[in-house]
Amino acid sequence: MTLPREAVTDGSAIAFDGVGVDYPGADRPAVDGISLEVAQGELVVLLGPSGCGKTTLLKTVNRLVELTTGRVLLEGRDAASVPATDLRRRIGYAIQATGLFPHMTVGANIAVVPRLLGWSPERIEARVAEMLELVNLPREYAARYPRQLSGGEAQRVGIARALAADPGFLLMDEPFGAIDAINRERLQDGLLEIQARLHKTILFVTHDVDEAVRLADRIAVLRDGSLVQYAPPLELLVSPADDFVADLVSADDVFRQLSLMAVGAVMLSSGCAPQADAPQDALSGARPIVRADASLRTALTQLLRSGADKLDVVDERGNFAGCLGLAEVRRMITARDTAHGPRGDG
Amino acid sequence: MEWMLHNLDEVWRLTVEHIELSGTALLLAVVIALPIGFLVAPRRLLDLPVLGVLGVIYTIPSLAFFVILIPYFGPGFVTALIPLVAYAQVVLVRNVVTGLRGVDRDVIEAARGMGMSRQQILVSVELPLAAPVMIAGVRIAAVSTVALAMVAALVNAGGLGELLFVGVSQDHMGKIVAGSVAASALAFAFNAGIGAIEARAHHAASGER
Repeated sequence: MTLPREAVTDGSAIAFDGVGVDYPGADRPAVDGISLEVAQGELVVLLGPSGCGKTTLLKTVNRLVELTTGRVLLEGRDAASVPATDLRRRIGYAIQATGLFPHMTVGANIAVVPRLLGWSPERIEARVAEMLELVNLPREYAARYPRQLSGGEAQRVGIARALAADPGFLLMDEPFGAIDAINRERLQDGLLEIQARLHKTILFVTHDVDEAVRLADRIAVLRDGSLVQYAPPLELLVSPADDFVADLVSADDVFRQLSLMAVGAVMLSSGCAPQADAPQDALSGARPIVRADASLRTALTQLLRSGADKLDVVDERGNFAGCLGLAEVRRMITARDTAHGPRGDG
Repeated sequence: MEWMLHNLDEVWRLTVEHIELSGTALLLAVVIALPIGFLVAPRRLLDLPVLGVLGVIYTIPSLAFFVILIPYFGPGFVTALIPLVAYAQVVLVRNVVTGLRGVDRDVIEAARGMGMSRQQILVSVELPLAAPVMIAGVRIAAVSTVALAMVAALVNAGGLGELLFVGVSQDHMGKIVAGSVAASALAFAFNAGIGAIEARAHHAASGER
């Protein structure tokens, strides 16, 4: 079941083509014939319970794991056709334990791949400063040692190191798995900011559904070495392929669904006016306002907390765009339910 | 003690001989133990055969080991050197292996993932991080080599052992004391000197410079 060559070479940055990995002595393949494409600049999350093969699949990209069957194409080229060390220097790699070199300063850690690539010292120094800024760490941190960093800081350095040589691809293996919840959200936001600026092609492994839903353009759900579903987060929640996916992502979690829907898609844009005849810049003094690109979850929270029956929706320039009440949120949820039927009844 | 103070020249000459013999043995032993350690560290299957053989060598009584080589190499420096080098292997190889295996696997995984070659990982990651344990092995081996080198005097290789054996045969307490005191001081010096290097390696490996 391999894809025709044209199908996997057009436009996709990473293409898994019938990838299988057998570990000696295991009773089933760790990865069992997965075909999957990741578009240029896309952030794809590999999601699944432990032992599902997601980390193994990730490591086939930089060949830390060798394939038993199939191939991995990077921008159309077979990854096996390049020497492994050359290949890896073009692919950023960040792992949960960070793997920072304890005997090297933060600066030297970030400089590892640029140095392997033979960059000049001046260029490396400038790049280290740039990378620290990118991950929101002060420049002075370049002289520190990993043991002087908090877990979150070490993880930022790990990401800076992975991005230092400006690779087109970034592989991240549960990078935030060992970080406390508050810092994890900060790191996730940081990653999204970086991604908005750099547009890397990112493969991100996690078993944390919230993390997957927050970060992913698309989520690939794996189970026992096979691909179960590959879809954008909302689609995964609204129409899970089977009970396994539905359970895994708690598809019936209304709040999780609302967090993925934008206010702008649901609001009433006609038939409601800004409250009273207040001039637009006085809107904030009247009804609570919410931005059109905020999630319905945020809007619902605001509705409940303010006790108002409607929110004014504004666009990114602050101009009135419509309004939103509990009725609209409820209509959205029931529309979903009638379209797909309550889960478990058939 | 009095004899020692009146014969400092003689004691010093034998001390220098002792340093030459144990120093050469130690250096050679490290040069041999490093590649053996590199070979064994990633292959647990080799633990039993390699460390087993080295362990057996270690149990050969020292006097017998020195004497048995005389027919082949004659009495002298080389005959004394070989057992010293051989005895040191068990401690050195074991510490090289332990040191390399003790390097955080995630660090090595990251190094591989960033595209470092096998050699680059060994030289710039594994060696610096394993150095404290390896150097600790050198320190322990140095102390035991200094002690064992006393026996070398019996095969005409000189060193502080001469004072000890001559002292015993002449029933000369002054020589026995001089030999023992000088040898102890030497062992102490090796221990402290290498210990200082070990501490620096430890600081460097954990980023506490």
